[in-house]
Amino acid sequence: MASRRLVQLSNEHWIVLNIKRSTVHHLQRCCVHSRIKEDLEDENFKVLNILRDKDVKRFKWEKPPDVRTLSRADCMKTDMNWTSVWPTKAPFRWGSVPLPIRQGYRKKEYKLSAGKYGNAELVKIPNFLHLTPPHIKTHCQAIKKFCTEFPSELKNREIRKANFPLEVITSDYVTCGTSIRDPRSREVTVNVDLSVLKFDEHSVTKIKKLAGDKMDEKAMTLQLKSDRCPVRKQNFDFNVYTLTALYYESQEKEDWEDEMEESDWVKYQWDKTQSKKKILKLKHRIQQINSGEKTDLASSVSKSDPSVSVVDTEDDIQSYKSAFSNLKDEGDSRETLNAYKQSVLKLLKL
Amino acid sequence: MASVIYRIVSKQPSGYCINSSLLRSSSSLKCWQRCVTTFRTEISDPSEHSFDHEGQFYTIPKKDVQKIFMLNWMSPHEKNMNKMFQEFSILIRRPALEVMDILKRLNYNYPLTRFLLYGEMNAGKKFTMTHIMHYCRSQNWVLLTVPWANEWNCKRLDVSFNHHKESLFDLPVHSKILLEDFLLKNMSLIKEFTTSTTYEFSEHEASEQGIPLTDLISFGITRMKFANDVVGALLKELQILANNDKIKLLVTIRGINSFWRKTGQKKEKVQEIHAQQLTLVNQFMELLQSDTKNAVAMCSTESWVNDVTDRKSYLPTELMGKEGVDFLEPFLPIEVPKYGNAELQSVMDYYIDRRWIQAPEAKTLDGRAQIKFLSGHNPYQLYRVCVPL
Repeated sequence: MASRRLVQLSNEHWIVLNIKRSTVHHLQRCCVHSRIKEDLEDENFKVLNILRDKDVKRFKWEKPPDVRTLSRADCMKTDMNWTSVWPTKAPFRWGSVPLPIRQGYRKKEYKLSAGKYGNAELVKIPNFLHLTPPHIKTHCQAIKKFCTEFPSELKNREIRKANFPLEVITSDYVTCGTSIRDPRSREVTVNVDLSVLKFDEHSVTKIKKLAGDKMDEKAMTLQLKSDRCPVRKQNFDFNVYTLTALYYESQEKEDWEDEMEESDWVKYQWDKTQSKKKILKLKHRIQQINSGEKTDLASSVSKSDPSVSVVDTEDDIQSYKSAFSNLKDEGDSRETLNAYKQSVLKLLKL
Repeated sequence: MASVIYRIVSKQPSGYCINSSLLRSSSSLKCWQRCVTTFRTEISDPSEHSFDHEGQFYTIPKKDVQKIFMLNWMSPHEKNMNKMFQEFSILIRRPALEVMDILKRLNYNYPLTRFLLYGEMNAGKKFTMTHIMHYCRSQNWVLLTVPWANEWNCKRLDVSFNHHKESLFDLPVHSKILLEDFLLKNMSLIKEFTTSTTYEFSEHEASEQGIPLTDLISFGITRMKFANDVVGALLKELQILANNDKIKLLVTIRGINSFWRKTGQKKEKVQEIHAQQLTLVNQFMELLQSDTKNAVAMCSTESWVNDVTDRKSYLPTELMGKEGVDFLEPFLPIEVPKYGNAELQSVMDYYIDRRWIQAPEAKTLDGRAQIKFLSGHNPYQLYRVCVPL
């Protein structure tokens, strides 16, 4: 343990000397030291700290960075022109990108992945540093002189839709290579707004079946894509031919279309099903009971054909029809089942 | 001294505590208090239940329980619950009241009306049916019950070829169970009736015209070979009786969606039997499709019928398929939803009353909110959550 020795210097000032006697743990010593310090300072003692406080750091002179070893990114100003640094598509260069980017495998959980310096992982991945907003702005500014102004009458979307239902999308590619041709430029997409064309109930369902996933059923638009022919014009012609064929094919009705079975129906047709017979029979029977006829079960069925005496345009049968076809079309849900229940209750006069 | 007392207490059987508390609660003062509490009604006659009683418990009298529900209807688990609670109480819920309301207003001259109960698993379809069955029994209806239709598909007891139609398969043991169940439930109601025609079961054995209906049934029970044919005869007789205004008939089929599924039954070379090939299923489907007067069919679709992997759907079309809906229509779909907030509170009150919930923390508002959240408003889950409490 450290011993303390009080030395009297003058009349009022006392000094405590801390002298290390044995190999004492540093921390322990510090504690003892600070305790003595606290005790004594209250009583106007000053402590001579022979072993210096470790936590007070000495001033250290730092070397300024060597300008010759700095990369371009380090020297960049915040308001420099990025388009001049990265004018075109290029693989990643760590020296020119002033961003703290990291990429790669983390060897330990607490370690960070490698920084950008000499990082091959960053070179492998594609970057979009040549497509920043200022780039695009300058590109647009450069092309602007080749463009004509968009007609102001067609700025309204609906007018444009009504007058130009056909939308043709093609793209051109500019590259600094040996060939000015790009194989992707032959692709043609044609968007058609089908609400302009004339369709009846049958042809709508037929074109839906024929077009398949090319058609957006809700918006009634058709999207035809083609890259099968070598030239753009041929592809466009093919798309238009497809459109024509689809339209006229959907207008025709073949004989075998009437032979569709229930599983093929797009919409449930209640009039063609057994359900209608069943309900009409039930309705006929209910009417008989209500009018007070006392007929046997067997005779009532054979005597009169129910479809003659019961009119299927009656209110409760119509409501049943709509509710049941709704149940079949939209599937089960709380709403459809409730509507169905109400219609049955109506049928049973409850 | 203290240790001695402790030992005596610990030696008491565990049931004693509950027993004594129930005994105390049935003293006259407590009885009066029970009437006052909001979660019970003392009206045990379901025909007097109205929408005012929604969310309250009523107790089915013990003689009815023994007669109607004890044998085949209740599962061992539910029997155990009754033993624990020392009574058979059910919550009066909206779907049951709705059906009973329709039954009260229905014109019974109309052809057979079909109800279809649907709802999520463990939502309480069975107890809704129990309530309605109890109502019909109180009105002296004849109950024809299929407690679990999927049993015909899954429980492999015995299969035999049908004598009359080659493509069909008989289930004699299941038919016997059905007949026994029917006889036990309706013994007093069908005593006087006699058969209207002769039924020939084989070359040597036939039942003559004019014998009592109970004899026909007991013939089916004793001669199990013909049990399935007897079921067919019984259904026909019941239809004739109902058409002549002699009885009112309630047909209860739990898990009707098993009628349109493959079964696990096998017979000799026929390895896969569809449920439509079973004679019992055909007989019941004939009954459901007939336009019998004075008859009501109450069916339920159950997700339990499906494989373990797909039991999420509970809506009728998903479970029965299109054929099922086409066969059953026009039906009255009745949804059995999960508990609402008021129902949940009254069930928890009941559990506290029956000492199913004993922990004091669970009885507080906070505890109740936690139980409500954990159960997800599902009746069976609510029961399960309260097990350790």
